[in-house]
Amino acid sequence: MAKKIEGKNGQTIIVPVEKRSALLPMLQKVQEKKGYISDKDMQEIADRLRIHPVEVYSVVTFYSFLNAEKKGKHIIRVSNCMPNELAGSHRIINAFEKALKIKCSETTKDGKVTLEMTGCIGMCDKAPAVMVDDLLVGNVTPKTVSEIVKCFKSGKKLEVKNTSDKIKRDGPIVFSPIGPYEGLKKAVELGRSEVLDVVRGSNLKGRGGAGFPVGVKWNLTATASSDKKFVVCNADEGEPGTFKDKVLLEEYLPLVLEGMVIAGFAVGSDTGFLYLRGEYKCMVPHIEKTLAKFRSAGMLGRNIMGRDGFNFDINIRMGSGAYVCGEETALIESLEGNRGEPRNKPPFPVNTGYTGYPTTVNNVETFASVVHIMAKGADWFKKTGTEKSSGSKLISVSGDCGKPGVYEVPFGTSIAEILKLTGAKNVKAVQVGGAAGSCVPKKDFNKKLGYEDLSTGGSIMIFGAKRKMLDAAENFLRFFKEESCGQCTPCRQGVPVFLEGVKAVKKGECSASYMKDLMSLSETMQVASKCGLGQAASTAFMSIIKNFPNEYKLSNKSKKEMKFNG
Amino acid sequence: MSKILIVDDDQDIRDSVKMVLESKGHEVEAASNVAEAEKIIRKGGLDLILLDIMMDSPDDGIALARKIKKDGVKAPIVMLSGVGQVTGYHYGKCDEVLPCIDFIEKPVTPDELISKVEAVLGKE
Repeated sequence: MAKKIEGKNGQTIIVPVEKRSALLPMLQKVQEKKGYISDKDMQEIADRLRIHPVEVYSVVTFYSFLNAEKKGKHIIRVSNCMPNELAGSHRIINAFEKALKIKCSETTKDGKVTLEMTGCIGMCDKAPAVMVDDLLVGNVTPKTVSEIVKCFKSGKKLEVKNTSDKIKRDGPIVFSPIGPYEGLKKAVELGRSEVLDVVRGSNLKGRGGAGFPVGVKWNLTATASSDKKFVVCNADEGEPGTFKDKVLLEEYLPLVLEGMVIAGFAVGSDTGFLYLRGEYKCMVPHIEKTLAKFRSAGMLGRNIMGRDGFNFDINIRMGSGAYVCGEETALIESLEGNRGEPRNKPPFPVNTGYTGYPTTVNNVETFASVVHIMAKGADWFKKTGTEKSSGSKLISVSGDCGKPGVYEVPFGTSIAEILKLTGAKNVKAVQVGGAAGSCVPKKDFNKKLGYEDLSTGGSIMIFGAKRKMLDAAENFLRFFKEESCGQCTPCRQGVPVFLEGVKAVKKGECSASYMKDLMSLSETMQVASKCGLGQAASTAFMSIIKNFPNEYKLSNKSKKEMKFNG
Repeated sequence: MSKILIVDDDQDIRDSVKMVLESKGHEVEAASNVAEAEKIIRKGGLDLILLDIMMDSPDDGIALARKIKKDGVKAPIVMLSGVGQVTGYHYGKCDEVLPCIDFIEKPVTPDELISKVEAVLGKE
């Protein structure tokens, strides 16, 4: 959407109607075309949007997929998140370094290739994995590395065949059979208030990890006083070890889009955004094709299903490589064309969200679940799971197991059952909830998935008996150091202190008093950080210190002196 | 004299609303949660329901308002909530999703409460 206005010297300038919110798509376009965003480009974009160039610069330097400096024609990003590290990502980096004759973070002399490390790219079940420009390549071996490099040298197009995992898609809710548009048809038949009541009655909680009741969120958005409302699908799946949304978007996209349309109907919104993480850019053509199918079937657009005044359409918006944008207010900031920095709450997005209008932000899996709830009823949904955690959870299993992949399990499934399901043997620990989650030792494998016990956005990382848990803690903290937006002090300053702490513990240089200081800092971060990222940044480290005392050198006296809560 | 139900999880609010409205000759019943409110509503004979929004769950009042109307209860509903201008929330009247006749934002002075309640009762 754009309109023409007259410039200072009488020339015609095209200004996007949404103005500032068009900044990120504009920058992404320049980045795609030129490989970087020059000072001149930033100035031109600033003029066009009538903002200061410094603001453009601040956005460019926030997102890791936007470059203010020229890089190679092709960018190879090797994922170094935990499951990739377990699978030997360092060997892949070495192989690339050798083949390209450069070090990591460097560009080849001919300017063709830049080699970088990156966080999770949603390919943990196919680790080690790399991103070659927009392509995701899994199960990378040194042979794959030489094939990729050969392609670059010869100028041939890289063709990737990513074998999908061999897990049978079978499950009680999301993977259960359902007809096309069945949920939406039922929703329209029931009417707005009934849809809100059914979703509320199902006790469905947000599947992104925070577990906020979806019915409440929708109710508050629906009753907010505004002539404009928005529905946002949070497909910025960045938590290390999580790739279940990727599978949903690849294999169950119509379900997700249908869930968004139902949300639009219920809350009274005519505009939806699907905020897709930059790493999943290769999915855009597939999403656009499916959106077109929805439009031609009359399931998107004006007067959906022949109901007068039921208008809704979905726009795709791309992220640009920022983990923190998975937090709903940071995501909204990003949608608005700003740095993805979390907002203070209240006000909550249900009333003051995208461009100040009421906005409901839900996870991909949440929308997929809603369709089944509408079609089959709240009582059907509540039959699965536990009293406090209705339904099922999609889990992304990675690490030391025979069958990594995406599984749908009812809430109330124990870690031991998951390990059996995935063919994991001789397991030392399971990290539940990604880098922001906690590390569960063998003695607690009877713990169950659920908001009342082990809450997770979907990431399950399995560590075999020979793994060193402090290495895992260091990996998680490196990730948080890289991804902290830097806005609030406890997170910005606290994470590096923990990183120093884990290094000291590994060297055996950590005294009991130092450890106590770290515990106290952890509590401060939990209380004083602005968003969930900072609040949870030290959780994994603290749970590893608590549960694996034999893995670090502290005198027994010092270990006894330390008291852990919980 | 009218029969009024105040539903609020805050005892101070229940007590003060009861005291203020009873001083004007109204009969006031109080409920601290949805279940208690439903019991009283079922007995019938209410002329007005003052309904808090955020109780055990942040949308209890919204869901209850819809249920009351769905059950065919004729008594008008006035939402009485601390969520409003100060917290950045603005509820909108919409028969389909929030079937209420008016809003009262807490904190409310006794005079404001009386005048709003009597205006609604007068209209009815």
